[in-house]
Amino acid sequence: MPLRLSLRQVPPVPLEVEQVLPSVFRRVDRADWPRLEVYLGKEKQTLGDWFDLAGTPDNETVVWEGDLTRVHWIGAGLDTGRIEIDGSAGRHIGSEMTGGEIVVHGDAGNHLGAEMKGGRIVVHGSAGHLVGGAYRGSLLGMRGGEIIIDGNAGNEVGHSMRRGLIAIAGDVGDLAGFAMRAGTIVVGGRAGIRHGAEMVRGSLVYLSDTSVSLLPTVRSGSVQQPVVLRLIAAHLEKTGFRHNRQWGSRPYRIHHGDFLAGGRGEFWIPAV
Amino acid sequence: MSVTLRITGGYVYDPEHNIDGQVHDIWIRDGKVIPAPEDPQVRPDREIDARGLVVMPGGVDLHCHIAGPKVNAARKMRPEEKRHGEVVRRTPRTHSGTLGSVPSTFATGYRYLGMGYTTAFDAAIPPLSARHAHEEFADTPGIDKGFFVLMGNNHFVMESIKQRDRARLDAFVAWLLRAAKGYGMKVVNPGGVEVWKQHRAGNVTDLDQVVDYFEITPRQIIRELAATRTRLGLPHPIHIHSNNLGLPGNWQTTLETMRALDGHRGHMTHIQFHSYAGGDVDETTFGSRVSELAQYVNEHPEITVDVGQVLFGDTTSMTGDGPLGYYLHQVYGTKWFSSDTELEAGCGIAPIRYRNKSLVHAWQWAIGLEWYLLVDDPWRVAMSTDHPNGGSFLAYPQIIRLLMDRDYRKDVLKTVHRKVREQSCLGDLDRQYSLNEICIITRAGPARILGLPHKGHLGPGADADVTIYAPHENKQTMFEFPRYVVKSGEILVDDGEIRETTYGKLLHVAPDYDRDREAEIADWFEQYYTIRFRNYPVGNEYLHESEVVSCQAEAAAP
Repeated sequence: MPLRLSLRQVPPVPLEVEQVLPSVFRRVDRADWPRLEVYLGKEKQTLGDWFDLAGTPDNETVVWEGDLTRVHWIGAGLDTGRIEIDGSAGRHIGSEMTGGEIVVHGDAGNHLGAEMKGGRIVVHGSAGHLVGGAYRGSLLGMRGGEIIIDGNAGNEVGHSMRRGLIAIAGDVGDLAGFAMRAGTIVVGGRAGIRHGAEMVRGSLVYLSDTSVSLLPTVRSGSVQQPVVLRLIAAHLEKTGFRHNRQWGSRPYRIHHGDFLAGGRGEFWIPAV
Repeated sequence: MSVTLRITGGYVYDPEHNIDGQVHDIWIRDGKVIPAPEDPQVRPDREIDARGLVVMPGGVDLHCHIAGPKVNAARKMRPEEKRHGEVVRRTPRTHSGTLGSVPSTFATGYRYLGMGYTTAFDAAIPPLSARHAHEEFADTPGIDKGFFVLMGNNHFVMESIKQRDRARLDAFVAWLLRAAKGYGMKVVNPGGVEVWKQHRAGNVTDLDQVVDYFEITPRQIIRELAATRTRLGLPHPIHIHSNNLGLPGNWQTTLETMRALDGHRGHMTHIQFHSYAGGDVDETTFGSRVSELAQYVNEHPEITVDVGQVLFGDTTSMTGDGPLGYYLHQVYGTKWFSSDTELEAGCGIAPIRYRNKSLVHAWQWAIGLEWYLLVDDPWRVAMSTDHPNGGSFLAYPQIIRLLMDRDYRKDVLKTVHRKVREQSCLGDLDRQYSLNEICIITRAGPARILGLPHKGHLGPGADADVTIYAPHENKQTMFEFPRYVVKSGEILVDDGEIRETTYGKLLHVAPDYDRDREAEIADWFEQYYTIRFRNYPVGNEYLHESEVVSCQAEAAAP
């Protein structure tokens, strides 16, 4: 049985819960769990002020319940264990996490998995801006792990991403892969504009959008059927990704860019 | 009646008066050190029992970047550092703040004070932004402070040199220092920043390259401004950031710059960054030319230096040297800020990480230490990290340990890039600094170089800025946590806690000049500046506590 944290009422201002992690429940005595620190706006409060706690974190599983759209930083810094979110939650879910798994049965806010280093995030709804991105000022965004989203995602997905896999079954906004250094972003639906601007290396893969608007500093290359896409497709199918593995076996036209930043990045667009 | 304070029974270090650890009492009244009363029956109103403790004048930092537009731009540019950086919490007496490589204003004041430093000078303020610097200084509590005014790429300066009109140059420099309420003259990459502003990726490569339009050379700018400084009798020599900072093989430019001074006094700042061998395409030729340069410094008493020590770790490079910012951005691929202060100066900012396994960075670290150890006269080498360029001012205690503890130094040397370990002379240098010498390079020397007669010593008439340390085997620990810090006679820090905060004085100069020349400056201003002549000078309303330091002291001396 997992530990269930049920939000009693929607907080009037953002509630930040970054210190509430499965590993903390392992370390801290049960009696002290309700006294774990959370922040309501700038005020220090306790977990027990806002949540009812029930169950035990067997297999290090913690479930968050209720309307969590104003609850931020769930699973930030997660290292081990599993977090499930029943419903939609706020910003910074899984930010800077290094391991473990987060499953969101709803929508996620901005900065999902921002600067994460390892582990996996699965979102069964949509996500906001800067999925796996860098925080403002940072040199690098996501550095490892994977983020899989059933719905859509906002702008600047994988901003300055260094390593890892982001797969979005639905549509993706503008500037995906901005300044990305390496890693892979899979775009299942339609793509916004200016993808891969200032991209140094890495891959952007489009599963259905055949008319992606590319920057003038991106050059068209040959048609290929790379093995790596077949492997990624097979891997994603196992995780329950909405597009079945067929996409990995189709021909793609490769485009190279951004030539303002060396031009070693790849855009894979279905060849028609 | 005013209150007297006696610091009793400490081991006093006051190199200015040849006091080297002897036990005696320091008497203080009205913020000044006073002679001990002749009548031994006189009791002080307050007393600090310093028995067993080390008593020194407050620390003096003659080169750091703690105020003004470049510092603020760096703060805004590096939110990622603030995100995980240490937070300075608010207390009933102090404001909150942030650290990171570019601390916020209040935190800067508290941390200098907490480390026993009571005076600090910002090294590069474009006069147009002097107001900003004064406003930030007002929020940098506790310490006395001042700044150097950027002049090496100022159009009026260069035009006056082109016209060979020394009277015009002198009048302008004096007027500018008064207008900005600055303390000294600073040149940064003289001529080079102007070329950078006119040409794509431009710079000057040597002292005799002609700066177009002005048709003058860096050599002329240095020599003429150094002579102006002598004629005006400014307390601090011209503060020189030479051309070609950070470039392999730049030691020759540095040597030429010292020669260009032509016998005038000059302070060569962050000289570590200017002492490199190499210059071939091959990176491995990079190395140290400190011994040649230090020999020249040893033989020329008119020259003083501060080191600009590099410490391994993350920091932010900020400089008035516009092309240097671009160079660092190109080398490290990091973000970069550049600005052009219309007729006056430039600016470049870029994050930097010094790594001990990097050949170049390890050399930079070793070269800094070589400077401390190879200049014979400690009075002419001041401690600095060029905060934050080489590292934070908070690293001074660590540098003290590196200088005082030979074994520790050799242990650290073992961890750096192999080539540096093998080729640097650092491993053969057995010199260890004494407490007296540390006292010289951290307070007495910088105060003397700055021309501050009331700082850096504990004789009667000195400002009562006193730091009291508990002796400790580990000198880093000793200098990181002073037992007491007394500033202008007030006990501001007691056992690591800030007891009281004061503004601290703004130190500036007001040299005389030929007022008839003002009309000419005004005309030029109205023609070219974005700001009216009468609105340009910083008004007295920007000063909270201040002191004008006299220019007459050595007007006759070269």
